[in-house]
Amino acid sequence: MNLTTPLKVIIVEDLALLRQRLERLLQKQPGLVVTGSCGTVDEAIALINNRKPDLLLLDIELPDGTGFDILEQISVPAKVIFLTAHNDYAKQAFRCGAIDYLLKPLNEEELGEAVQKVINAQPLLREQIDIAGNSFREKKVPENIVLRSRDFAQVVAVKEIAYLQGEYGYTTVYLHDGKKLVTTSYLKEYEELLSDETFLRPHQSYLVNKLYIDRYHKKDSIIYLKDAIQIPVSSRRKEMVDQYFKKL
Amino acid sequence: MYRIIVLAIICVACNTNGNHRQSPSADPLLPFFKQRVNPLLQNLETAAAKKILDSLLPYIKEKDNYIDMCSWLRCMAVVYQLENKLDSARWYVDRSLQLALEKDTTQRQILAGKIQTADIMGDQHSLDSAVRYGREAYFMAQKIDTPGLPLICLKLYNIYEKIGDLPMQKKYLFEGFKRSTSPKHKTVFAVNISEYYEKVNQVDSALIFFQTLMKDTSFSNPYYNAVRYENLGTLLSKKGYLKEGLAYQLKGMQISRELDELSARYYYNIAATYLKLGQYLKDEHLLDTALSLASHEKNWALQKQIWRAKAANLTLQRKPWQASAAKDSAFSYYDKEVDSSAIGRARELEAKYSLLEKDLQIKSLALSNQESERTRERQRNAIVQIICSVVVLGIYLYWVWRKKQYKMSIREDNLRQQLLGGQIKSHFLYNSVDGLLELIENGNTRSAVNFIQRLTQLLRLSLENARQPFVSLKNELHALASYLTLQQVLSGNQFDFHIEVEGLADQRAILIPPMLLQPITENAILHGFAGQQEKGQINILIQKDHKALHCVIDDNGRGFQVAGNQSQKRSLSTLINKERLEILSRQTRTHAKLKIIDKKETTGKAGVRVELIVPYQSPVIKKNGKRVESQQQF
Repeated sequence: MNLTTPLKVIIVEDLALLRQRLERLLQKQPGLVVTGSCGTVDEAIALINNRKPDLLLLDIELPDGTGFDILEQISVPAKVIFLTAHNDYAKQAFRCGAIDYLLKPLNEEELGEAVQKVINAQPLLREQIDIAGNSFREKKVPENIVLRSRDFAQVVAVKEIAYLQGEYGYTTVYLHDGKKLVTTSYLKEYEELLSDETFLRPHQSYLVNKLYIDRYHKKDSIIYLKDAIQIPVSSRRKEMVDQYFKKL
Repeated sequence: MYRIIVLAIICVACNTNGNHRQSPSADPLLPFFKQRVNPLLQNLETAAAKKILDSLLPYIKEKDNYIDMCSWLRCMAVVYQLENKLDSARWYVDRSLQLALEKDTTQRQILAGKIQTADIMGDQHSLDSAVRYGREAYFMAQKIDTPGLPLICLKLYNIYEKIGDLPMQKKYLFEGFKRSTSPKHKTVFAVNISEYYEKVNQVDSALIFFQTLMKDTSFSNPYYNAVRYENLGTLLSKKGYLKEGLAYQLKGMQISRELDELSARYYYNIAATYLKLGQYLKDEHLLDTALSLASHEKNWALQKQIWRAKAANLTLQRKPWQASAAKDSAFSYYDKEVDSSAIGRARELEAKYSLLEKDLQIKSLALSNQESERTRERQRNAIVQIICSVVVLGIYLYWVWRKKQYKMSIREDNLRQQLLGGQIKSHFLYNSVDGLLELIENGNTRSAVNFIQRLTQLLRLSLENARQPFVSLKNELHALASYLTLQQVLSGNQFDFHIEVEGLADQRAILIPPMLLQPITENAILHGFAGQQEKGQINILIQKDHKALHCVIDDNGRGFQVAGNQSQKRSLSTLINKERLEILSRQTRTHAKLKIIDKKETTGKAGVRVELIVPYQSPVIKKNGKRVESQQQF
C-alpha cells in the first residue's frame, strides 16, 4: 500500500444524491481519492479515458446503458466494484463472472471491506467481464462460468463440471477430467446459479451434475458417478432424490 | 275309414247338440258351422277349415257369446286333432272347457268339451284321463242329454278298445246301438259290433245279433240295411250257409252300389263265399275287382288278403305257377303293408318332429329377432346417450375453458400490473433509502423528514393501488406527485414538474388503472434528462372527456436522438403501457390510445410529448352513500 500515491477512484451513478453519498463515503477511506463522478455511460467512458482511474464504482443500471457497456469500451485496466439495487439478473451475472458487487442501499462498513478486498485482488479479466455482461444481457446463465479463488480466476464450461463439494466457505469444483478447483464461494451460491435441470443436490455438501450420474443405489443411499465416484445422499434429501430417479 | 266317419260324427254331434240347445231365435252361426265347416272337416280339408274359423274369430269375439266361443274353440280343436297336432287340439279344447265351466249354466257346453277332451286324450294315449272324462260326460249326458249318449258310448268304446277291455267295449257298443236313432249312428254301431264279434271270434253271437237285427224292422235306412245285409251275409257264409249268405251279401251289395258306397272288402267277402261255393272263375273275377279297388284305396292289408285268396283260388284251379305268383304278390304286399305302416309311422314321426322343429325355429327366430331388435334399440339408445353426453360435456368443458381463459386473462392482467408496480417499487425503494441515508448523514434533517413523508405516501398508495385494478384519479395523481418529488430530490433537483387538471370538480369520482403515468415520467427523467446540462421540465395536463381522460406528458429532455440501449428501454416501458391500455380498452369497451411524439420532428424543440387517452370508470355508490373506494385522503 503506497501512501504517497492514493488510488484514483471514479464513481458512475445516475442519481445525484447517491453519487454524492458515494463520494463522501469513499473520501473517508484511507488511500483513496475520488477523481471524478458521472451518471451516464457516455460521460463515464470519456471521464475514465481522461483520468485513468485505479478503481471504478459502477452502478449496473444507467440511463443510457449498463456498467458492462462502460467496461467493454475502455482500454484502461481497472479494479471494479459493481453496485446494484436489488436486481436478480445482475446478481446472477456477477456470480457467473465471479465479480464482486455491493447491494444498495450502501453500508459504510461493507463498502470499506469491499474496497480493501478489491485493492488487494487481481484486476478483472476480460473473460470475466464478457461472461458477466453476456449473462446480464441475455438474462441467463451462459455455457461458461468463471471460477475464482484468491490466486486465480478460471473459465470452465458448466457441462465440464462433474460435481461440487462445499465445506467451510470454500467450494471444490471437480471437473469430469479429474481436475479440481477450490473457489472462495459458498456451495449455496453455485446451487442458486446452476439450474435444477442440470444439477442435483443430494447432500448438504454436494452438488452433482446429472450428466455424470451413472447409477443410484437406493438402499445404500449412494449415487455413483461415471468414474466410480460415490456421492452420499443425505436422509433429508433422500425423498427428493428418490423422486428424481423415479421420474427418469 | 271308420275313424274319419267317427270324427265327422263328433263334429256334427257337437254342433248338432249346440243347435239343439240354442233357442230358435239364435244367430245363424251354428248352422254356418254345420254347413260350411263340417264338410271341410269330413273331407280333411283342415287348412280351408282353419281359414274360415280364423276369419270368424273377430266376429265371435265381437259377439262375446260363450256358446259361440266354445263351439269355435272346439272346432279349432278338431282341426288340430285332424292335423294330428294333439297338444294344440288339447289347448283349444281346454280353453273351451274352461270357458264352459266358467259360464255355462246348462252344462251342455261342458259336456261337449268333456267328450272332446276324452277323445283327444284317447288319441294322446292318456287313457285313464280319457276314461275319466268320458265317464263324466256319460253321466252328465244320462242326466241332461240322452240324444248325445250314443256318441259318448262310441267314444267310450273307442277308449276301451285302446285299453283292450272287451266286456266294457261290448257294453258300450250295445248301449250305443240301442240308443242310436240316426241311421249313420246305427250303422256305425252295427259295423263295430260285427268287428267286435269277429275280434273275439264269436261268429255265432254275431250271427244271432244280426239275425235279430234282420227281424227288427222298426228301423230302416239304406246305409243301415246295406251294412246289415252285408254283415249277415258274410257271417252266414263263414258259418257255411253259403247260399243264404251269398243272397244277403248280394242284397247288401246291391244297396251299396245304389248308394255308391262299394268297397274292396264287399267284393272280397263275396268272393270268399264264391270260393267256398266252388265258383272259381267268379271268385277270381271278384277278387280282381276287389284288388283294383283295394289298390285304389291303398289298403295294403286288404290287398295282401286278396292276393292270398287269389293264390288259394288259383291253387284250387290247379294253376300252380299263377298261384305261386299270387302268393309272391301277397308276400310283397305283406312287406308293403309292414313297410308302409312302419314308413308311415316313421314319416308321421318325422313330420311331427320337423313341424316341432320348425315351430321351435320360428319361435327362436322370433325371439332372436326380438332380441336383436332390442339390442339394436339399446345400441341406438346408447349411441344417442353417448352423443348427448359428449355434447353436454363438450359444452361444459368449453364453458369451463372459456371461464378459465377469462379468469386467466384477468389474473394475468392484474399480475402484470402488480409485477410492474413491484419492480418499480423495489428498485426505486433501495435507491430512495440510499438517498435518504445521504440526507440524514449530511444533516439535512428537514429534507430527510420531507423525503420520508413523500416516500411513505408513495409506498402506501402504491401498495393499495397494486391490490386494485382501478384507483381514483386523485390518489393516482398524489402518488405521481410523490414519485416526482422523490425523483427530484434523488436527482439533485435536475428537473421541475407541474401537474394540471382541467375541468374536474371531483377527482375522486374518476377511476383509472394505477401506475399508467408514472412510467412515462420515469422515462422522461431517466432517458430525457440524464446527462443534460440544463434543467428539465415535465408538464402534465389532464382533461376530462365524455368517457375518457386525455393526458399529455410533455418534457424538454433529449428526445429520441440517442439510439441504442436507451430507446430500447424506453420502448419496453411504452410496450407495457400500450398493452395495459389495450386491456383497459377491452375491459371498458372504450377507445384507448398511447401516442409518443418526438417534438423535434414537429416543433423543432427537443423533448418528448406523450398523449394518452385513458378510459375511466365511475365509482359504484353503496347504500350508505359512501364510495367503494376507501383510499386515504390527503
